[in-house]
Amino acid sequence: MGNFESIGSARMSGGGVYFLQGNYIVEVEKAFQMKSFKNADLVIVECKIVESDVPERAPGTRASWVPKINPESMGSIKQFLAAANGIDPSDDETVNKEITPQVAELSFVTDSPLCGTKLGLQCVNVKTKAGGDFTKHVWSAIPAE
Amino acid sequence: MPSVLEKLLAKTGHSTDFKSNSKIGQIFRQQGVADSKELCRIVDLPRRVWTEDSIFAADVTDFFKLPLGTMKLRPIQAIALSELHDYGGLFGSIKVGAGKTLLTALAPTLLNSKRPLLLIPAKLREKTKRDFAELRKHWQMVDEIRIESYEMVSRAPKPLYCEARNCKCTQFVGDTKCVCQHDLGDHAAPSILDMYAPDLIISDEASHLANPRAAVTRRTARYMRQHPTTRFVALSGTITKHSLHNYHHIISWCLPKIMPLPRHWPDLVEWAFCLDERVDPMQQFAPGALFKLMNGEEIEQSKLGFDDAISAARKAYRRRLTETAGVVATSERYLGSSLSIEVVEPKYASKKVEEAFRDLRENNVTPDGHPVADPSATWRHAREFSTGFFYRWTPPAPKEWLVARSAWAKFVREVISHNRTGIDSELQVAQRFPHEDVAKAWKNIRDTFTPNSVPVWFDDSVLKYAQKWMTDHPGIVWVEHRAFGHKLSEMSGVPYYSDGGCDELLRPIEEADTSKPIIASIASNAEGRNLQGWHENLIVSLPPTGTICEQLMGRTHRDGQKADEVSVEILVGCIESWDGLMQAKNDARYLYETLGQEQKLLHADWIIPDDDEVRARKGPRWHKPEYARNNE
Repeated sequence: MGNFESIGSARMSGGGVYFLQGNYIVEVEKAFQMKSFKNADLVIVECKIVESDVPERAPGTRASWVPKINPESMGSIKQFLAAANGIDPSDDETVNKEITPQVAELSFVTDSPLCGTKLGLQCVNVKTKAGGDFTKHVWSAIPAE
Repeated sequence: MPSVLEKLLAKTGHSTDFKSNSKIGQIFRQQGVADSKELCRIVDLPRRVWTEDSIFAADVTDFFKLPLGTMKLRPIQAIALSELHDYGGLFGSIKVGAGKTLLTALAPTLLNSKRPLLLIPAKLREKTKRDFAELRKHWQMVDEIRIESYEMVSRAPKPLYCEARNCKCTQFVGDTKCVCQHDLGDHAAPSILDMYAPDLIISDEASHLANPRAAVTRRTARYMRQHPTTRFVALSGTITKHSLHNYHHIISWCLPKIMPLPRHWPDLVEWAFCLDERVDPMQQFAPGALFKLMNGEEIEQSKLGFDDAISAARKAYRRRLTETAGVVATSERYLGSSLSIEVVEPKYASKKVEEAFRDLRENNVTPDGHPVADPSATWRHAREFSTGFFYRWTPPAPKEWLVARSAWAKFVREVISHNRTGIDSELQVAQRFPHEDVAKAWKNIRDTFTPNSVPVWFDDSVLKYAQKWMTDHPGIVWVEHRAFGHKLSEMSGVPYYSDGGCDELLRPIEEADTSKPIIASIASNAEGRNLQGWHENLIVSLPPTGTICEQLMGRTHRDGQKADEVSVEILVGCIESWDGLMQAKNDARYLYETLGQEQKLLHADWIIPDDDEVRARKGPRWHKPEYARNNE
């Protein structure tokens, strides 16, 4: 088998496309862990936008959420995992009971079991303590139809 | 309703014990053990605290003893029998030497069992028979208690005849076929458990069932699953080595309705990652929701730091476990003899030991130039070198033989780990997969070489030290290696008790003259024997496991010991032995914190060098090469 057998199905990388401020319904296409060029641990969640109120991120386009794996972003990651598994992220008791380290480890892998899951996403621009811009991602479960 | 984890596992096809070490998992783990329905169930289980009551013991004694019997039950035995009666099962973490044999003898009488089965280590079979014969003079015992060894249960019996249709022939070719060439794999004979169909299983020295992957554990588990009404009694002084996984399954057989451990596997894994000894620090869970088991004092302790929090969680867990009805654990301190342990570094007369260690550390070879393959072989050889010899295969094994053996062993491990068809031993794998390439390759080459281990001596300093020790002390010299035991016996004329606890003339160790020294094999005698006639011990090579140390010292430091002090001298000649000793102490701390049982290694008076001083010693005996991790 040659080195480029899979080139036909590969998607070209044009740099990161991130979510802009607005409301979305997205479908998870990939969810995995990797290291950045600066050796930071990252979670990558690649999504296809299904519905959107942001013209620059129209339905059918793709965008990624890339939180660092550190204690500060664990809340967001936990919220994402809860929403992706159909749990209301505000239900602390259920979230703490169900979203365990094993769930996190199983979720962010190649061929993640979360692929195909639809989620609600609200992105809000906030200021960091240092004065920089930061897009806060708020994930929510979509009730089963 | 399945949990999120179960749904994900079903989607991905993983099992629940998948290896996990990702960064995200580590950060989650710091948040601690999750709250769960199982934790709530365990918190809500009723608690009971028992105290030793000699009047109650006398009442129970009257119930069981024969009119002419003179023996009496100890309070702990009476409590254990009472709980067995009330709850139909018993999980007894009862200290070494507290009288477990009598419990095994009376349990069938108490439960009116028709087919009781007593499981014991093979080396204790004859001793147990002798003990039972004596006990029958004092107590009401059922007519027949079948005694089988764990080794016998784990052995796959050959069928009496081939069960293939229209065959019935009784002659077999090798392990896999009858003379008519029917494959025996499809007609494997039932195990002893299936044939005898016990209604009560008593597991003495239940730590032999600790390994969930061992054939004997798998068979017992299968039998208990298929016959859930079978009652189970588990007794051991050292029921766990370092993990909840060592006895989770056993306690589920003993007390299925009031089990004080999580039944849900992912919950158990989290508890174990928090409470177990030998957990990778990066994998260790904080106690988290386990605070629900803690009392005020433990909660305060848990605020002091991570290690204190783990210690507090272990204490809380221990109280929960030992206060569950049906769990009887001894916790009293040893009030009789004191125990002193001294660590001694042997003085080697020649430089050959240092040279052997230098070859091992720098060139990974034995003194005869044979390469040492892996870290476990290095560890094994280092312990041999420190006693002045090493084992080698003579002649050495052909490379093809080693490769075929290794491939076959890997295949067997994989089949046993993953099959769902009841295969749990090497023989069964051979019977079921005779046509696999790896099986054929191994079968073709297996008999071309028979390993012949020969000891090669290069220093007799330790031998002479042990010989001199025996002239000064009428005690027990404990040896790990058969070669050392035989050589020392040959030099000194002192009998060496090894296989089955017997010497060369097949005299049992219990009948040896206690005014003279003896040499005892650790593997054959460290469990189940009453050797309180001696009070001085020399351990030539100490196994690095807390449970074995506890058992070994419990042979002489036990109820009935008349001397004021039991002394133990441990020879530590290299860093591997020192690390083993430290690990044994850590294991003992874990056992004490989770089961509440006083451990001899913890309460003994130690004469021991400082850890830093030992690690600062010069020379190849005290320094292992540093191995870099793959990603460093």
